[in-house]
Amino acid sequence: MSDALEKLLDEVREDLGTKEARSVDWDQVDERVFARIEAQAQEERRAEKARFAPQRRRGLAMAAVGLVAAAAIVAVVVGKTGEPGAEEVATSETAGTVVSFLGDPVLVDGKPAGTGATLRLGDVIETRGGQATVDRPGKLTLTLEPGTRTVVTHVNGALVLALERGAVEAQVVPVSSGEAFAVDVAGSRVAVHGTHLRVARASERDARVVVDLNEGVVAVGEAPRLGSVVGTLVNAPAHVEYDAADPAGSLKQTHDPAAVRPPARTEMVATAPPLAFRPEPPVTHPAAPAAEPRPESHPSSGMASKPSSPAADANAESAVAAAVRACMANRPSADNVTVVVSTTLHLDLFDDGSVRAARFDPPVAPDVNACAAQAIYRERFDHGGAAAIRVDFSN
Amino acid sequence: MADEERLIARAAADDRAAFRELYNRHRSDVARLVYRMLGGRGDLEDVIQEVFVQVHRSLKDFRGQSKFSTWLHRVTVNVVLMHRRAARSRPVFADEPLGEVLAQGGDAGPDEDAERRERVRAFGRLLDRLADKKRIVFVLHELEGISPSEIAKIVGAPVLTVRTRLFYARREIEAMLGEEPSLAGLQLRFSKASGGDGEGES
Repeated sequence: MSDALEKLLDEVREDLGTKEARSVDWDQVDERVFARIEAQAQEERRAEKARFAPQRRRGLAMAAVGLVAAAAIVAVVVGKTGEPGAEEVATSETAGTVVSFLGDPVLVDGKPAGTGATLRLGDVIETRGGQATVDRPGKLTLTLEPGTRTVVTHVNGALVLALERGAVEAQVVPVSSGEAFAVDVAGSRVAVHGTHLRVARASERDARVVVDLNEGVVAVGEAPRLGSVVGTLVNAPAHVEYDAADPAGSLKQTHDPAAVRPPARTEMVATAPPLAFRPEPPVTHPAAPAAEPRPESHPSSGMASKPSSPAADANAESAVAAAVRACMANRPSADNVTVVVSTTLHLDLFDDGSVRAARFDPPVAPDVNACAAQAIYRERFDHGGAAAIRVDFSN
Repeated sequence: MADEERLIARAAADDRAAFRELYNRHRSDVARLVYRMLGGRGDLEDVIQEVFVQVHRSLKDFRGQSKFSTWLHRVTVNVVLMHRRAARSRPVFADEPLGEVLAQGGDAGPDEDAERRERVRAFGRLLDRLADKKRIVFVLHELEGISPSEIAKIVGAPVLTVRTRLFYARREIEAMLGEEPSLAGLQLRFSKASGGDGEGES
């Protein structure tokens, strides 16, 4: 390169575009960028709602709802009916069927619904003084406790309920990937892959959410616009409390079985296979030492501070990393696709080295999360405190 | 860097505050790069806007396999290219400036400063005459200081292709220097000082 060009480039590097970048009207650009992003988000929300909007609404239920429901719920229903194109979208699945109730009959969209009533997307379900059991054959059975009001917001694949107040207890058949059931509370979500849990909220104005988990794993986080929730993984047995406005920052959990509310004694319809949470067979990665079996049940005295743990493992970090990689390797993918993942697993450990909480940063796919949790919470480290495990994977 | 990784992960999970922070950190660099590749001030703000909307839309697909800056450059380059293609298909009105920044005026300084500003403007005009592919690698390497291997990732071409484009871009710029009066003098001065024509390839 000539000296003239070298000299010129020195000047150009310093000057070309520098002044212009400074003179950009950033206030205007900022405003436009974020307005477009917000418009995009609204469009996605509209598309998502339209995807799951019902094929047709039933009769005059709207009028009844308008009379009895709280303003927030009215807003949900009115928004739904006004959705452009909603009538064209077919919804093949239902939320389930009311199979029994104790005390007062359940109200669906403000009208009494007896045994056999089918629940659909958009239904507002109220139990008043009674208690209702809903069955979604082969998928889940749920009990709505007295004083509960909830809205069915998603039915295709996963069932999602928006809990306005009260409590929902569910027994969910595990799914191999994705989420089977989720409860939204004021922008937060408790999502499950297969478990027995109860989610409670005192009232519409109360942002405190209480989750009791008897089996399996749940993810707690902000309700996503689309797809699966990315949040804190909680392993049973656990009693969790958090503020819906800040799930990540406020979440507190205890694994003391005595603190976990036992499953309701009410009839749970046995349409599902046995639901004892069984971890997948131990991963067969050569670096992963065979995991010791986890006790199937917890001490009935409920006095233990947390689930009993296997002996401390000096190689726990490599075992966990290997198990996570095995979970990634087991994900289905096309033959001609190379998957490369780099993440760090942050662990919060009890003093005896067993795992209190786990979080991937950056997050991994929900099914990897669920698969990995089974190995992570089985492991016991030879130290307490915290651990950060780098996991790199390539197929 | 770990801080930026966390920020990116949060922004990808639709944390608007995290995205705003990322935006604030990178907007000036993006603006300068857009200006350099666009070949002028026209539509600068529209293109910057489009870059960040695209970044927001695509951030969830950013897997951290490359540096964030590389990925951001790739998005920026693609938006600029799309914009230039669209601009070429638009009719140009006779009184519309052809992407050239004319003297801003108002802050005339010493002669040397004025000459320097004119040289930078003239160089901008030369850049604009390069074909898109050559201009992009030239700007990324010579002005932004990015290595050919990194540029290869940004433009999605083999490193050898990037080096070839760079070679021809330099050669064309050298050849065009004499066509701009403010640059021809500079070329002449250096060629006299070195006693030759100053040709060389790095």
